Amino acid sequence: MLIEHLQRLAYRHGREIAVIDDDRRVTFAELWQQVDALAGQLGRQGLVPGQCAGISIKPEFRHFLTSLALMRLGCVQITLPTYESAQYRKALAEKAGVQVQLIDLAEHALADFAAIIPVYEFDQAGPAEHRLPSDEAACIYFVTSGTTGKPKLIPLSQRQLFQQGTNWQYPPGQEIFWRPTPIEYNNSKRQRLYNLVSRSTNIFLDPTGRDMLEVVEHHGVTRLNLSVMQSRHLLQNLRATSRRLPDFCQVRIGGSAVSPDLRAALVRDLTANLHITYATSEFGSIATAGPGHHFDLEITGVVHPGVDLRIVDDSGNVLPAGQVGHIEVKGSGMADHYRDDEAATDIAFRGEWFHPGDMGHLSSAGLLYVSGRADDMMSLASINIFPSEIEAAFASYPGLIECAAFALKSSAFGDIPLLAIVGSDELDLAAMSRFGRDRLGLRAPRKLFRVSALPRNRGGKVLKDELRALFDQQIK
Amino acid sequence: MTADPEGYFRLVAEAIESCSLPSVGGDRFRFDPDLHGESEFASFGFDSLTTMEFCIAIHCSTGVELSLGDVARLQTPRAITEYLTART
Repeated sequence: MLIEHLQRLAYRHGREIAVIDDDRRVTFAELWQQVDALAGQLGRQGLVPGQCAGISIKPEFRHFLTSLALMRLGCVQITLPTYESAQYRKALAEKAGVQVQLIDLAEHALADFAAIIPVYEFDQAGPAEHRLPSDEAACIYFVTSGTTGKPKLIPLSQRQLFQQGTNWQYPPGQEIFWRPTPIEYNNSKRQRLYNLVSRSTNIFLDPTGRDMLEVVEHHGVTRLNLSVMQSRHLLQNLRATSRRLPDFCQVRIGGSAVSPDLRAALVRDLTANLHITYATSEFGSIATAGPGHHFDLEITGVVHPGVDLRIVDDSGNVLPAGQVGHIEVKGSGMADHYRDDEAATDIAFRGEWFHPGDMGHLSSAGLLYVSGRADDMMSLASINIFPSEIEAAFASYPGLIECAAFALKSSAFGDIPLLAIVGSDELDLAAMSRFGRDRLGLRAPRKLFRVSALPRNRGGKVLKDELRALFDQQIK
Repeated sequence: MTADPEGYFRLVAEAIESCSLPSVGGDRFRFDPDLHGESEFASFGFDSLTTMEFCIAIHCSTGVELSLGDVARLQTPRAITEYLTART
């Protein structure tokens, strides 16, 4: 459905701009032609419908084209991000059943996987099979760590992607979209694909060293999607130079909690056109707080039309307005399982409802308030990290007796993962740190420090606040 | 923790080296205090991700929070050192 939609856009709105790649403009007609030609090339290189391909391509537009070409061909895809360690990417590839890897550089090739470096020349024929692939088969796996800390794969079909794109409630037509987060991040990629549904223009631009306001003004960006961290940086930069975003630019922030203080500062000093979005990879967008809702800085948003949301207690009983409980949602475009993970599927998908793992309540006016995660997840620069996955990675490290991961709070980046360790004097912390980097990539603890024993309560639970205090003492 | 300027300079140098490990992206950068003290971070090949890692390393070793904007504004390891010294 998404690819069919793109084909339709190419015919009906072919001259409109689909992509701005740095300063190069690509129309919908050109985008379709390039996607079709690349699909043809990949087909001639041996990819067949139903195969699973891993994408390790860092250049934004090439990644996007490759993703669409795989959908055109009827393949399933998963992003194997180049910023992750080879070990992590390989584990992900094995979990997804990747049969071939598409890469931009030879150094991104994984051992034991066939690899193709696509050639981005578009004077070639499209796929031999002219019919478009099924709307219902899985076309993409998004990765989420959910509530267990183990990567889970969310299969979505083209129909589900299209419906999730519709749920974002963007009016169709020529919004100009920029998200300064690389497309290799799931949330960024999802948004790029949703933009096809609303016929928007995707800007692909490396944000490094650029002034965001200049980009917005130069390209006439009408939708700027930011992480919490990016919004802080933009706010700081604009305050320092006494500037504000133009009113035509709508700012959307999602991915992690926006504190009331930050929200007030954003409305005051960045833009009144601020939208806070509550969304998940499994469901898409659930609720949004727009300019009319910032009178109450705790409001998460108004639940979107077509989204059924309720609050339940631990036993699944629906709670009345005002009472905090578990959030449940259902609606079109929602995923219905995790690949090869029955236990996680049973927890998150119960009957026709999806459980995001968040707690919250509805007001009597139907406004949603999210209180937080039901677990103790950390979020570093929009990457979800769980203490359990860090502790598990180190569990069998020679000489280590026990360890506990916890967060050092950073106003700029979120939660910085740290690891307190109890072990023999021979433990080499630098070597352990490298081990963590190799195993966990960006999820690795940034500092390891020794303690004589982990502080625990009577029930044996590690007291993270006491660990934070011990760490503070060490650096003072 | 050493609170003198040279102590902070060493911490800055260590932070630069720690965040240019291959697993973060790019080859390990050998920081030479004489050559690189006044060099801009961009010349080390830092992108936004490595700059974030640098800020985190500084936070973990000194307790001082730096943002990407701070690094862009201060530009050099020496200037960061002076900033840290003044903050503590």
